[in-house]
Amino acid sequence: MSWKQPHRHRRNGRDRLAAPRWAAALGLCLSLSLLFCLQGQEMDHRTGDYRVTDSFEFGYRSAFVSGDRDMYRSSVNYNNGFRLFDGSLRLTSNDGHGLIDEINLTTFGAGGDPYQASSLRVEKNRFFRLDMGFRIINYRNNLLSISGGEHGFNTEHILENYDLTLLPRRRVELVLGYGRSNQNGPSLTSQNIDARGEPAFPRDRFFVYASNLHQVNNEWRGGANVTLAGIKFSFLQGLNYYKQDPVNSLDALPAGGQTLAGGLIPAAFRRSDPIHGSTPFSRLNIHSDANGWFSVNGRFVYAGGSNHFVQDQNIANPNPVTGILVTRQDFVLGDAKRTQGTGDLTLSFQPGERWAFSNTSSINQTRITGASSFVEIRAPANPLDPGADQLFFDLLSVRLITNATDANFRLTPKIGLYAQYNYSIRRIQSRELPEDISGIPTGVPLYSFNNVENSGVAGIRLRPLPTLSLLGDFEYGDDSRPFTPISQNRFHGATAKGQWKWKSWLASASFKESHNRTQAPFSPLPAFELAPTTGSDYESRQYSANVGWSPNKPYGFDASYAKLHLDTASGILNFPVPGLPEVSGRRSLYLSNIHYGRLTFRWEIRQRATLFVGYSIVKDTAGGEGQGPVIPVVSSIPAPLTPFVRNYPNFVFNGADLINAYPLTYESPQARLSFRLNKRLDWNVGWQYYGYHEKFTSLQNYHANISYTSFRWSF
Amino acid sequence: MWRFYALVLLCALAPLRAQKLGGPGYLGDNTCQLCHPTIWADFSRNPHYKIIVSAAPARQTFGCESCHGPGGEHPKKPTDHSLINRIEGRPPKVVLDTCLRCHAKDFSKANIRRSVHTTHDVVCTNCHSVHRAQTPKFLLAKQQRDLCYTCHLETKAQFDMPFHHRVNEGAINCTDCHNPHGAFNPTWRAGVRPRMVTESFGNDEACVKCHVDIRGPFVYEHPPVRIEGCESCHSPHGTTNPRLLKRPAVFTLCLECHTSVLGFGKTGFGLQSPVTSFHRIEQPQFQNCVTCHVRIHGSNVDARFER
Repeated sequence: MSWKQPHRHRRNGRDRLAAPRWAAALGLCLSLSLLFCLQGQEMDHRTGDYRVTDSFEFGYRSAFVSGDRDMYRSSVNYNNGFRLFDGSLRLTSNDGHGLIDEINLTTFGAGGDPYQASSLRVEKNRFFRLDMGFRIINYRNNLLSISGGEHGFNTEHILENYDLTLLPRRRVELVLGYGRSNQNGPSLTSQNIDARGEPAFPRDRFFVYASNLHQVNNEWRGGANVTLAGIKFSFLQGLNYYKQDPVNSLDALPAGGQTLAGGLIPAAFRRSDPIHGSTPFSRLNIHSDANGWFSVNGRFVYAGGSNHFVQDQNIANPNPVTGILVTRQDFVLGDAKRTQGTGDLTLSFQPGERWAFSNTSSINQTRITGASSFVEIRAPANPLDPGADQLFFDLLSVRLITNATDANFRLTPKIGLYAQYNYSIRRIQSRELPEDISGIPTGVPLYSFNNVENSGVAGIRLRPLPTLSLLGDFEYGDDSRPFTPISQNRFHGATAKGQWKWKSWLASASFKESHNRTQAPFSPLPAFELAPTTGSDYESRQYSANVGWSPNKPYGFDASYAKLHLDTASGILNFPVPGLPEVSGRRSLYLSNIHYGRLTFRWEIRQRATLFVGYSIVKDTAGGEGQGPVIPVVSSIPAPLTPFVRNYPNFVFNGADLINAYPLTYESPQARLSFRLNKRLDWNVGWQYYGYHEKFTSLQNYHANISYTSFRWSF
Repeated sequence: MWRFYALVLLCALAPLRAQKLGGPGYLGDNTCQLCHPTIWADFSRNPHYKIIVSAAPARQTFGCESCHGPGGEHPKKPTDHSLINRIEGRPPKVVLDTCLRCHAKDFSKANIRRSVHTTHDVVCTNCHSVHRAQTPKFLLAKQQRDLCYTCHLETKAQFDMPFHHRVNEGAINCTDCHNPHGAFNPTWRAGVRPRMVTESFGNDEACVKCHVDIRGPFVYEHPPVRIEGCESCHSPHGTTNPRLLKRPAVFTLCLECHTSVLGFGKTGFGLQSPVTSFHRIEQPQFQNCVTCHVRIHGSNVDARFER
């Protein structure tokens, strides 16, 4: 387990992620610059049978952060150090007669950035093609959303993927692949056991702590693509193997690992809970595209996954009354299985340039079963609950049958119409039955949940001018029985888009609106129902516009604006304090009005320097609500609510509704200046600022100045 | 199952008609490069160069004329675009048909005829630039994210939010989650409107390709994850809320569903509400439900996701 914390120095109240060593960096870069200037090669040149194109940018980045450094690290996370900002190398064969026809390497962030990616393609035409990808993503995982960030830890996620195609573009292609996902990072877990009144392990103070998941997923793939009589058969067989092996003990937990304020810290604790599983999958696809007028695609996928697990936990804590040490040793073991089969059949028919029809039918069946047996050894024995081995069993089955039909009609070259009708029927079956160790169920039945959804889309495309395209559509749908109170029930939406493109000018605008109202399918309401409404209402409107001008030289600019409006109203029990009907009988509103703007400008100065400046801002005004920390002065505010509102000023009780809103501002100006030292070498210097400012609380605000200097070299 | 394969085979064989190219009127690449020297000079770096230099199947060996059609009449009236398949400016279906003559065999393009892009007249040349590509791989007209942002303006805004997937930073691409050539019907929600979301090899939502610990299976699944999809709680592009949640405070998100209102949930008895004296929601530790319900995506050992 690696709980890396960055080395930092505190100067005048500011966190500096490490001494940036400006002088050394600049000296090294200048030295490299002189070295590179002595080299005499072309940027894009021919070497023997190959044509080589390359570019590498290497430099130093430094970060000055003030405010909540952990929040910064969870969202931006650039830090100090040298790195390869960007790199590309491309070799292409001049005549296709070499051993390799193409090598294409791209990379960025290598060496120091929290986000790094590299890709490599090596290809010999019609013999092999190898694609490799490698990514590292580092960030601080704030385990709790609003907690001041004190419980976060570094997370490192490494993703690799390799694909080898043998005999590409031949009648028979062989494909081999390997993918790997490796993550080291925290996840919350707890000691909690159902102690049934044992005072040594109080139910409301159980031990919650951060554990390193340390998970690895390996995936092997193999298959073939065969073209036979114009029909393309694609078969892929794979095996996905997953494991996580966390082992935790009280001594090994990192500082701050205990996450629940007032929670129990036991006298002794150790747990091992490995999970190992595999998911083999098979996929067959058959495709025929007969000269564009009729195409057929059929696909079948089967995946059968299983996870095998065991949890071995030892915990000890004294009984606060008797002082006797109480121990619990728990074993939970079992397996979970999921089988999933999917079949699709798509028929597309294009009788001419005016009409196009398509119909897709799909069926998907997912079945999840599992057994988890629980054994507990207790000392001393609890007379209230002598304990018994238990076996829990669960089933979740989803069958989904869908059909989508599309029609597309080009009325004139300038006017097109399209429509889509969707139908789906879903059956969800569920069973949760505790069994005793002899396997006798306690009589919980199999539940079945069925719903049918119908929806349709109608739209129009217009191209009144060669430079102007417009699009608008409307959707309406109805679901007979939503699965959750926020699922789609009665919904509609509208979209309008326009784009004008003339020479190097591009202007576009769009509008999206969606609305969903969900109502409980049954009435009247039961007596214990506290909420006045029995569903939710969701409305979202998005407006956006963009203007860009990008001639090749010497200027270019791009300006964007968007407004994302969202409000929801529901009968959620935000404040379900028993005995407070004046609170629990209210509606709850969530308001978000996000304004977004971005402006960038590029200026190439006499082919010797290029200046790029940009500014982006995200501002959630939240409809003017939630501008804490002022406690709202409302005469009808219930007294027990006051402490809550004091802690969370972003909640406002206006006497009728409970409004929660979270206004904030996030802005990021940036600038970059590149000097062309010679035709192979550029010197760059850049700066970017990140400012995060919440208006409802200032606990997580941060400001960061990121600067860098680099050289871009083409040899 | 054999009925399924038989049906697919039958439908595929019915319209079978071999595509033929070549014959009189073809000039060959040597003629093309006389008038288009700059395109030709750069063409050796183009992946399509392989159709010239390698021994490809007969219908692909016509170099420039593989895509542009026979050019025999073109030199006589170079400005008459009706004499050559200029691609640019042609009706969308013609563009699509031209490219799919070779590229239809790719599995990733199995749904291109019915994709939303095709329906909206966004075809190959709207995103790909064969002769002036900015990316050597896939011949995109711009960097991938900039290309997508051209039309998806609101998505551009979402990726500039304080919390977002690292697309602007370059660590993730749009195509990691989406297939711009069209996707299969999803296996979550109502199974329609795929929104070009790709699926993992096992037909799960694209999210689990990276977030493998959430894939399960679990003995105790949190049903919305499997049935309604990750978007029930998360906004995958970007939000102003930590962990890409749809609401800033966790408990407001959870309590939108857990209201005990009858009719919802897999049993129809409603999703259990924490309206008990135990959950003192006015106290901070109960406002982050996942502080205790730590394995909210699914657990093997606890039905309440507490460990």
